[in-house]
Amino acid sequence: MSELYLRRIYWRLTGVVMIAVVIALVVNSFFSHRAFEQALVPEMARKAATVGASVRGLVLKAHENGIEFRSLYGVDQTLDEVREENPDFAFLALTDPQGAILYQRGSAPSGIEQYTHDPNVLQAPEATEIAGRAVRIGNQYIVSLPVEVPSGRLGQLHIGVAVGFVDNIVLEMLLDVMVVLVVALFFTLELLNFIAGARLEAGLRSLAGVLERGRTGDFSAPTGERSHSEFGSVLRLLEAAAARVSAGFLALTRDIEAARRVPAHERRDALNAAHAGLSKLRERYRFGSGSSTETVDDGRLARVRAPLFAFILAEELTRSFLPSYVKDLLVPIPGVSAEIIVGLPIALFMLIVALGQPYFGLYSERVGHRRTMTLGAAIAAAGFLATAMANNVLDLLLWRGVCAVGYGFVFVAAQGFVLSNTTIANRARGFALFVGAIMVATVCGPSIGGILADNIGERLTFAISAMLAVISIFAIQMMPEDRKSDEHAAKIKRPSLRQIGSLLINHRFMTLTGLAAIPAKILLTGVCFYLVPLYIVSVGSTQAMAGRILMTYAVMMVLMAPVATALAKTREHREWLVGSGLLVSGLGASLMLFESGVGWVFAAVCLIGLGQSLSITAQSALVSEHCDQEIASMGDQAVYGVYRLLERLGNASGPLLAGALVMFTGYQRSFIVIGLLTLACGAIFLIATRWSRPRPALAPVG
Amino acid sequence: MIAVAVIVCLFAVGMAAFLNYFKYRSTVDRIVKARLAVVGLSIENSIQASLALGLSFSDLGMLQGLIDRETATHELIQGIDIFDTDGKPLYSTDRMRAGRSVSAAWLNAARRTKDANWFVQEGAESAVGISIKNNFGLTVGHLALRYSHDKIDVAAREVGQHLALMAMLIFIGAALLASIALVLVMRTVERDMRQVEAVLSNPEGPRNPAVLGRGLFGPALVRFFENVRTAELQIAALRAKLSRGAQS
Repeated sequence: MSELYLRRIYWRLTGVVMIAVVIALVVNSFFSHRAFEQALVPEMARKAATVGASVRGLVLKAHENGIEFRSLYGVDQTLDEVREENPDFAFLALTDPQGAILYQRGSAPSGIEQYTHDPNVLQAPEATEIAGRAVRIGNQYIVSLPVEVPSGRLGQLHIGVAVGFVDNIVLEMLLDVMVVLVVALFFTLELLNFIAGARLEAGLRSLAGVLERGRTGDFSAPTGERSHSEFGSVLRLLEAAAARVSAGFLALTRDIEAARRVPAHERRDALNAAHAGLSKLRERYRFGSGSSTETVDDGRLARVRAPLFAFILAEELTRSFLPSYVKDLLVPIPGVSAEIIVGLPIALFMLIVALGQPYFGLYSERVGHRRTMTLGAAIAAAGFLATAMANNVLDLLLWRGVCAVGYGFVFVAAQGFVLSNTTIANRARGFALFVGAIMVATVCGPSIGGILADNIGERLTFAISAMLAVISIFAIQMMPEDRKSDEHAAKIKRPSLRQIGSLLINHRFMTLTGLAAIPAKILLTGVCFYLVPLYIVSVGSTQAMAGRILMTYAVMMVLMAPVATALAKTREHREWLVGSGLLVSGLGASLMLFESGVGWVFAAVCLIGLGQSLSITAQSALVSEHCDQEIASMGDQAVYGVYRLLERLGNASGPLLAGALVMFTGYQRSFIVIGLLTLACGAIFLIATRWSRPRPALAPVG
Repeated sequence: MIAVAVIVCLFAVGMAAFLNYFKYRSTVDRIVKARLAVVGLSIENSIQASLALGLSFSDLGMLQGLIDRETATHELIQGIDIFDTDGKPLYSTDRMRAGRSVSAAWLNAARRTKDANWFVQEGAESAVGISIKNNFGLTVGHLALRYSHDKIDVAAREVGQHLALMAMLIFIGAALLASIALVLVMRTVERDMRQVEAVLSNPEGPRNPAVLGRGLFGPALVRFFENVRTAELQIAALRAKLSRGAQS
C-alpha cells in the first residue's frame, strides 16, 4: 500500500516538474529559433554570395570566350552541382538584364517573377565585398548578384536559401532536446528520492506497518523507533487506538485473573466463559508490547543511491565516445592492429574489474565501505582527469586502468554496503535500489556524454566525468559510517584453481555460463561498447547519436527487466527466457545483414536491450538450479564467484573479438558475425537445456 | 521540494541553452568553412587550369593577383598562402610570410587529411586548406585561407549572451512554475493527511466507515478500525460476562 501511494506521490511530483520542463523547452525552442534566424541568415547569405561569385566567374569566363549569355551550355548541370553541394540552396536562377529567367534549377518561391523584374533589384549596384544581404521572397531568402562585363550588365544570378534551413537546425536539436527531457525525467526521480524520498518512504512504511498490524489484529506496541515524518501525527493517533485496545485487553486480563483467584468451586460459569473468551481473544489478536516487527533502516540504505548514481554516471558519460577518443590517440604498436588497440582500453577496464573484484571486496570489508567508496571515487576522479590529458593510447591504457581500479572499489563497496544494511527480508529491495541507481546512470550517461563530446570535445567531457566522481565523494560522505568487519572479510573466499577447473569441465555449469552468460556479455561490450560508437561515427553520424542509441539499450533494460523478472517463475520459464533472450539479442545484431543505416543500428540495439533484459535476471537464478550439486559441495560463494568471473571475462573479451572481426571483415559484418554467434549459442542453449531437463518420474499405474 | 524543481529546471534549460549555443557555433563554423572552401576551390581550379597548360606550379604569374583579389573581396579572409608539400611558401598575400615555412600544424593537418579539406585553429587565427594536385593526381602543394576567429567570436559572444539571458528568464519562469506546482501537489498530500487526522481525532470518526473510507488510505483505515471495533466489542462482551459472573 505504501509503495503504491509513494509511487503515486512520486509520479505526481515528477509529472508537474516534467510539465514545467516541457513548457520551458518549447518556449526555449521558439525563442532560439528566432535568435538563430537573426544570426544565421546573414551568414548563409554570405555563403550564397560566395558560391554565387564562383558560378558567376564561370559564366563570365564562357562569355569571354565568345559564348552568348543566352546560349550558354551546361548551366543547368552546373546549377545542379551547386545545389547538390549546398543542400540549403533551394533555388538558383540566371536572369537577363530585364529580369526574365533564362536558366533555373530547384523550386522557385512564389513571387520570384515580380522580384526579378523589380527595378530596384535590376539596378542594384555590385557590392565590392561579399555582403550578407538577403530578401525574403515566399519561403526563401533570395541573394542576388549582378553578372557584369565591362560593356554592361548581362543579367543577374539569384540564389534562394530555404527558410526551413533554420527549422532544420532546430529540428536537428530536437533529438538532443528529447534526450535532455528523458534524462530530466530520471534525474527528477533520482532527486526526489535523494531529497525527500527516504523521509517520505520511512514515514509511509511506518504508517503502512501500523495499518497492516491493525488489519491482522496485532495491537501490540512496536519496539522500533518512532518515525518523525510528515505522517507522525496520524501514526500516533493510530497507535493510540491500538494501545487503547491493548490496554482494555490487559485490564480485562487483570480483572479476570483477580476474579479467578477465588477457589474453583466458588467460580461462576460466566467467569469461566469470560476466561475461555479471553483465551480465544488472545489467539485471534496480539496485545501488549514488543511486537516482533522487523525494524529495517531504509533511510540508511537509501543513502548509497545518490553517490552510486553520481559515480556510475561519471563512467557512463564516456561510453558513447571512448572508442573514438582512443582512435584519435592511436600510435602504432608493433604486432597489434589498430582495431584491436581501440578495443584494448575497454577490455583492460573490464579485466581489472573482473579479476580485482575479490581483492576489492576483501579490502572493503577490512577498512569499511564508506572509506573504500571514497578511495575508489578519488582514484577514478584522478583517472578521468589523467584520461582527459592523455597523450596517446599507451598512457590512456594506464589511466583507464586507474579508472577501473576506482570503479571496482566503488562498485564492490557499494554492494557490500547494501549487503551489510539489509536482512534476508529486504535484501531484494536493497539490490533493487543498487541496480536502479546503476540503470538510471546507464540511461542518462551515454546520451549526455555523447552530446557533451560533440560540442565541447572528448577531453572536456572526461574532465566533467572527473568532476562527477568528485561530487560523488561528497555524497559518499553523507553515507553512515560503517564498522570494519574482519570477521566478514575472513568469510570472503576466492574460488580456488581446483574449483575453477572442476566447474570449467562441468557441463551443466558451462551450458549456462559458456552458452548464455559469456555470449551475452561479449555481445554487450563487443557490439554496444565497441562497435556502435565507432560504426556510428564512421558512417558520418555523431557521438550524440551513438549516445542516444546506447540510451535506448538502457531504457529497454529499465522497462523490460521487471517484466522478465515477473515471468521467470519456474526453472523452465527461466531457461526459455535465457534462450529466447539470446535469440532476440543475436537477431538484433544480425539485423545489420539487411541494411547498414543508423536506423538499423538503433533497431539492433533495441532488440539487444530487449534480449538482454529477458535473459540477465533469469541467468543468475539458473546458476543455483543448474549447479545445485556443485553449490552443495563447493558452496555458493565459489560457484557464483567463478560464474561472475567468467561472465566478466566475457565482458573483457567482447571488444577484442569485435576489434579482430572489424580488422578482417569490417564493421557491418562484425555486427552480423557476433549476432549469428549469439543466435547459435541461444539455440544450442535451448536444445541443451530441454535435452538435459530432469523429467518427472513415471508413477506406476494403479 | 523546491530544490528539486530548481535543480531539474536548471539542468533542462541549461542543457537546452548549451545545445543552442553550440549548435549555433557549429553551424556558423560549418557555413564559414564551406564559404572559404568555395573560394579555395575556385583558386584551385585556376591553378589546375594553368598546370594543365604545362606551367610550373612555382611559376604561375597570375596567381599572386588572384589571391590578392580574393582576399580583398572577402572581408573574412586575412590572407591566402600557397605552399609546397614541404611547407615552403610559394605565394602569399602577406609578404612577411613568404620567407618562412608554414606552421607544423598546417603541414600535419594537410598530410593527415590527404584529399579532403583540412582545418586548423591556432590561437585567434584559423585556416581552411585544400590540397593542390597536378594532372597525374599527385599532390604538388596546398592552399590555405587564413581567417580571424575574432569576428566570429564576437558575433558568437553576442548570440551566446542573448541565448543565456533568454535561458535565464525561461529558467526562472520554469523553476517558479515547477515550484508552485510541487508545493500544490505536496499541499494535497498534506490536506489528505489532515483529513485523516481530523477523522481520527474525532471520537465518532473511526466509527463511521463512510467518513473513514473517503480519505487517504481509506480502505486500509476502514479495515484497521473494523478490527479495533471488533476487538473492543469482544473485550466489552467479555467484561460484561465477567460482571455478570461477579454479580450472580
